[in-house]
Amino acid sequence: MITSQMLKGMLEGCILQIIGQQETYGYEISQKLHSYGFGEISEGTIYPLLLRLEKNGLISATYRQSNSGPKRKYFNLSGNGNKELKMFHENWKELCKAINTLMEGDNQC
Amino acid sequence: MLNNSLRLKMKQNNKREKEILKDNNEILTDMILYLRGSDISEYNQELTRADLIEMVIEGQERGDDIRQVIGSNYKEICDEIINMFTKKTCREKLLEILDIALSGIWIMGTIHILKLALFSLSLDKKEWIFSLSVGDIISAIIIIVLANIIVNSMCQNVFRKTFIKNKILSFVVTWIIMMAIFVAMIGVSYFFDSILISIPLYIAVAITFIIFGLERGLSNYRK
Repeated sequence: MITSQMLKGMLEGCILQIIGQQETYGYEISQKLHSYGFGEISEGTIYPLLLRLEKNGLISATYRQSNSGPKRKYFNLSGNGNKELKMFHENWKELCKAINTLMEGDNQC
Repeated sequence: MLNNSLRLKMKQNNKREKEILKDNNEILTDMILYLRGSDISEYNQELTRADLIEMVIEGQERGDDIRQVIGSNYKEICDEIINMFTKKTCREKLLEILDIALSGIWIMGTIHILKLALFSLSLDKKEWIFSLSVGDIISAIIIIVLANIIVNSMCQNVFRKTFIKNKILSFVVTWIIMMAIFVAMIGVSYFFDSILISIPLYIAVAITFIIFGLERGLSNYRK
């Protein structure tokens, strides 16, 4: 089980990755995280992270009418968001190698 | 106290909130109350409120209740949201205090004018005089300050359901506090009865209107 402490610091990068795949919205992001094996992460948990990413200019938001009725906030990756995502990939590879080396003596990631 | 874009946002949110089911609304209201007691601007509070309302409504459409949509750690989520926004600057806080003070003055002033007008009407000799004693001013300040303390305390402690678990004890403590405040205000009015201001009632009405106008102007200026 991935604990919330372990997720902290990683979740924003993972959310950027999901948004980078295609334009998406809060509930869909939480569903995708669940499908990738991150466990149940509620939309409420993601919401402050999305606010932070938007505030830092890494994602942009637009409101559109959804099929089911309520207006939905859709997110897209910005240019800075792309750069941040690339940096996250590099940082993750580095971290992954370090942990694998520590745990299994194997630095493949 | 509200500028137009904030007022519009509030109106939209009030309308949308009617679609939220009662159980969900209780928890959402607690979260909004907690945000109201925080250091973020009213406009950002309403923006967040709008997002949370849409999340809950969409969750309802899927058959999810607010716990499934938001999660169960409401306070933690609210704290995260509050940390995302820029805090009010000293200037904004001062303007807010001034706004509250001016609101308090024109509201209390209006009540006092009406009280004196009704009192004058009931007398045979009509004396349309607006008078304020030291006790009146102290009582007004106590009311304004206490009202703000109570509201802020309620907002910041909304996730702590009761200070005192025992309902009867809680009622008794609340009653004692209210009586103490009431006795203090009567005492203040009795002992500090020297008249500070004594002016014709129509001048008091004009001054109250001016203060009302200033408060409106300040409210529109604040963002």
